[in-house]
Amino acid sequence: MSNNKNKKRTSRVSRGLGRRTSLLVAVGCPVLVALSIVVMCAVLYSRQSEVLYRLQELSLFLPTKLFYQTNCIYPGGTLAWMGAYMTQFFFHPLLGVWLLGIAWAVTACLLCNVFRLRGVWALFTVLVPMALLAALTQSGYWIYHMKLNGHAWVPTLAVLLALVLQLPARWTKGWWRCLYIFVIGVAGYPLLGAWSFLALLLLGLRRHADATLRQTVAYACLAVLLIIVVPQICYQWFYTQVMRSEVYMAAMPSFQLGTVDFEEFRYAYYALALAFVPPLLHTWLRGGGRPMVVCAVAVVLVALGVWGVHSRWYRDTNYLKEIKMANCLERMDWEGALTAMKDNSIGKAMPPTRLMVMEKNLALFRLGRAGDEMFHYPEGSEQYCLCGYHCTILKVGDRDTVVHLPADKHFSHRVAPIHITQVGGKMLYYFYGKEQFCYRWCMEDGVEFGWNVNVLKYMAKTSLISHEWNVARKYLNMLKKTRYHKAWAERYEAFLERPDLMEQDEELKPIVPMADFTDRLDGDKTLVEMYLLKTFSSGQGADIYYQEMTLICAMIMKDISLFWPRFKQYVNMHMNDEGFRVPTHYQEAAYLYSMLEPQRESVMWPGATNAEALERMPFDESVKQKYRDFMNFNMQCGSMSDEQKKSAFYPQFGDTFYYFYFLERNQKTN
Amino acid sequence: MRKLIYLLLLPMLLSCGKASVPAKYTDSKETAQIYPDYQEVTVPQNIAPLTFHIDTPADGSVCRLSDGTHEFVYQGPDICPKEKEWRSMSGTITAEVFLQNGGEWTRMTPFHIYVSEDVIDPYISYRLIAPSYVTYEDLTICQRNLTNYDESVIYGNMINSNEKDGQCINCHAFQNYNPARMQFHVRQAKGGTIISYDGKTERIDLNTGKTVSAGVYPAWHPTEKLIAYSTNHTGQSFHTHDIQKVEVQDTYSDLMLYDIDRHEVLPLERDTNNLDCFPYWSPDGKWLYYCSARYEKVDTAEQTSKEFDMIVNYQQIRYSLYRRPFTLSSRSFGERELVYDAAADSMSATLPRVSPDGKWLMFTMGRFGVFHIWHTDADLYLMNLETGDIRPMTEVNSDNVESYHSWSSNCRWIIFSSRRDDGNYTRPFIAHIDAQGHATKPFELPSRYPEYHRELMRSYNIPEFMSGPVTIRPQELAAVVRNDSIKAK
Repeated sequence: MSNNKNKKRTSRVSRGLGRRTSLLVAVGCPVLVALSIVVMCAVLYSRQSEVLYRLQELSLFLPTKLFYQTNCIYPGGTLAWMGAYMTQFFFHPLLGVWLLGIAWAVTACLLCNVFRLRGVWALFTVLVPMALLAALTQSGYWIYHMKLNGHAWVPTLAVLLALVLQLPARWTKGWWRCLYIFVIGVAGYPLLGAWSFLALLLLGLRRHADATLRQTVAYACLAVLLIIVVPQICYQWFYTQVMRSEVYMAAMPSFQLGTVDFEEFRYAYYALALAFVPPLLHTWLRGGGRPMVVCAVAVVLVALGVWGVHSRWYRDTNYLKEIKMANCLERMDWEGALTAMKDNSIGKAMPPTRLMVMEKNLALFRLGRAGDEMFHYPEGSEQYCLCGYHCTILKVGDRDTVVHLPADKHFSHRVAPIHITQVGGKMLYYFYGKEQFCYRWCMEDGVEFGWNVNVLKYMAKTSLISHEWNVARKYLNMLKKTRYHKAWAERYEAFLERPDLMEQDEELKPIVPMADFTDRLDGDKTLVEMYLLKTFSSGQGADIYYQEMTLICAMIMKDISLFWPRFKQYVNMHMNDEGFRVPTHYQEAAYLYSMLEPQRESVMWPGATNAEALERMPFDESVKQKYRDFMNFNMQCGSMSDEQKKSAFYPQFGDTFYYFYFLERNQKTN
Repeated sequence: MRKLIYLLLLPMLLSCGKASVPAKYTDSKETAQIYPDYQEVTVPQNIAPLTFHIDTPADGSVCRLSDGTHEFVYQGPDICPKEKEWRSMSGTITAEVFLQNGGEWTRMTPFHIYVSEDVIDPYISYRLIAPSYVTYEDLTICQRNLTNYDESVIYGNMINSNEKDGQCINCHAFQNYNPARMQFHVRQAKGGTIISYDGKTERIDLNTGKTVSAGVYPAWHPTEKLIAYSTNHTGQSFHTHDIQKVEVQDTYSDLMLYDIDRHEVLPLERDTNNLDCFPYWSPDGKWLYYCSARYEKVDTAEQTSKEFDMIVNYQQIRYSLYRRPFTLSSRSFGERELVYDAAADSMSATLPRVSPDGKWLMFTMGRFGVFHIWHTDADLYLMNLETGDIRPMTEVNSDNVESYHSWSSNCRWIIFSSRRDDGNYTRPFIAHIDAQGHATKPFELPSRYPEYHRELMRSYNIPEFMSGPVTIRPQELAAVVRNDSIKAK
């Protein structure tokens, strides 16, 4: 009996094909799908492993009742909870990708099984994982703004569950199937949110082999009715934290930021919905269709899918570099952060963002090489772009709208409402000893975008620095409950018992004294860089780390009067160090400022002029020579515009303070 | 096979056995560390079972609760008495904690929980909010049944908030513990004050232009359809180093009266150099208590703004307690009277709350400022209104923040917010208070899971007693918020 069935099925699928060809198709297509998934995973891992690691840092899963209940105040809370659980595995990006690949492979198998896709029809199953991949890799800076917990895994899990829920439909018949659809409609919404509609639509819109047309229509009507009614009932009686107008989007990622709606990020989700059309169509065609036509359609759709994934993939080089640098800095791999800054293999070369510049300066500062190398890297203030391509936000009518721009407007118009405070500001505040401001932004972001491992870590560390032991313990205890951050929490937990150890800890040693300053009321107006520059450059302190930061910031501020006292203090503090030499950039600044104001009284030698002091200071010959070369070259380029000069000077002088002082201007921080 | 099944079932059966105290143990002079700290506390007879977690590290733990007549034994670090067990005990409950280490059992010094005959109002309301500064996401005004653990949302802001139109909610208040007479504010999108009075709910726009702002901190008249409000122009600045984190200040604040029936705002006399705040009625409705600070900007060569000056001099702004007589027939207030000159003592007193029997005035006091929830030195103080004597409530205060407080309707209990657990997250504490004004050691609001508050990332804001639950549903309130508001005159 079963042999007959198989034969019948095979004969239907391979209609018009020879026996050998049909066998090849029957085996080859699933293999092709499997290979495609392997390729997708390989590309995902090779291109996005740092991003995936970051994703789990920006997520949180706690194995507690309260955590589950907190998720479940929204429809689809269970799905988000499951998504958060799976996101943890990106701690080991390879493991995370492997699990994702398995989920996609199971999805493809379930599609074949549920919709009885055989032969060339199996090719269509790859469209769903492709759409899921696009939904994941398009995110870019949205990973800092997504409010849906476990968003990286939610679509994959939702599709998987929607397909699993199709299986029992086989075991029910006639009006019992109506009951089953009803149960899925009622129970699915609280568990899966709007993703339960997918399960309902797949149940309602397919042609069940054993159903009459009347029954099929009834299933479809019931499914649609449940989609309309259940969310409204749930809103009215069960959910107190969701807007009526948003009940149909529950557990779906939102791509709205402030007043701006980024519609293009929904394309991947539309594609995901469309990817189910061929399997549904297959049930109505009863496995029919000419193999060659089906094959051609499948190839076209897969090609479209590849193009879609490619075009939606967020490839902003700075985004990838920022994440890699942040991951390195948090591991205290300072050299790794500098390598990432220079790494041209990451993507298309472009000017750095202010955050990258600050991250680079932090790495050099911690390595003690800022004075020698901080101007060896490109400067820039490249703006963030949520879209990953050329766009800006303009007011069209009364709405803020994303407007796409021609490629040549690329760099000056990549504006998005993202602040450094959300992306890397917390880390900078922490490493520079501004513990209360770091804590503040952790709290603000945790409240707005959801608690995550990363903010809990910074909240724990800053609470330790400010000696708030009890609240530090609270955060560390939470982190100890996570799957992969227990060891991290235990390392810092040791400081609760022995606070004195903080001053010997490699990470905290420079931070603790930097955080020891007189309190005052202040605000950063969300501008991290300006706040750090202003507070450090106007600060005075006896700690060697703090003092060097005041000098570095005075140089970046290009403020001569702030520079001299800090330079003098720096020299005095280090004069007796064995093998001491003043770092090159500090020498360059001192030399330049002396040359710019030769008749002004010297801070270094009170009573003497800068010109006189210049003779007494042991500048490196190379510093003096570079200055002379710079000035001579400047004479030669007298008629050039500033932009032309920048290009002309950069190869020879791009790594000097002279270049920074004269030619790096108008850096816009965010 | 059958043997294997028995072997597998045996541990399960054993684990289902009733917990018992160890037969052999040695006594320790130390007490076990438990969370929340329920040692030697006094609780009302109708409170939900006190659950707690044994913090002292041990291989195993057992706890026996007994009142002399009944005894119950619990195994493991989480001690969660069932409601039936809890209710069966009365008088003094003795808690014995047995800890096992290296196979040896130790009985820690027992502690007691005293069950008072005085009942407590069955419900409290509060706002759950993360202690953030500028951002907010989901905020909920909740109610909690004190006789069990049931918590429900009175109104949550997300029901009318989305990415474009955010909404903040605050300042819930009830008339005389009556849950049918409630008000709270909605800020930003669809802003206004929601006033629900015996089934009629309206959204009122209290911004008339006659006052500094719309109504902020409310105080229902105990009997009349009147609400006194402070009107505030508030700002905040951030500490760069201090663990108090933020300083919230009013640069202008006044008082006003709102007549619910007439939809009319009546501003009290205005002096821009006086910062009047936190009104509260005496139980007979004849006096309006409030706190007030005087700040006059000194003209300087720098020509700085008043706001800037106040930020610089924030530690010099100190509030004292005042009251004004109120004449109901004319809806008018008399001259202000000084109740307590805290500023003269270089202190700042806020949040005056008169007990329902009119005998006591409880308030919060710190070294400076008005928003004491961010001041670690803020403590509760009690004034005897008959003698004028003032004393710090040392029996309830901690070395961290104590701030908002309210009296139970029978005057025997107070609930107040404190940050003693971790310095950052506000938790409600309840203490018994006798006729002489003496309080007992306060206890933290009991939770179904002992460590609930350790994981909760939100603060309890404005805990208020209620005689019963609010019955109007959040969705109904949401519909009122969406509807057009009534403009106050």
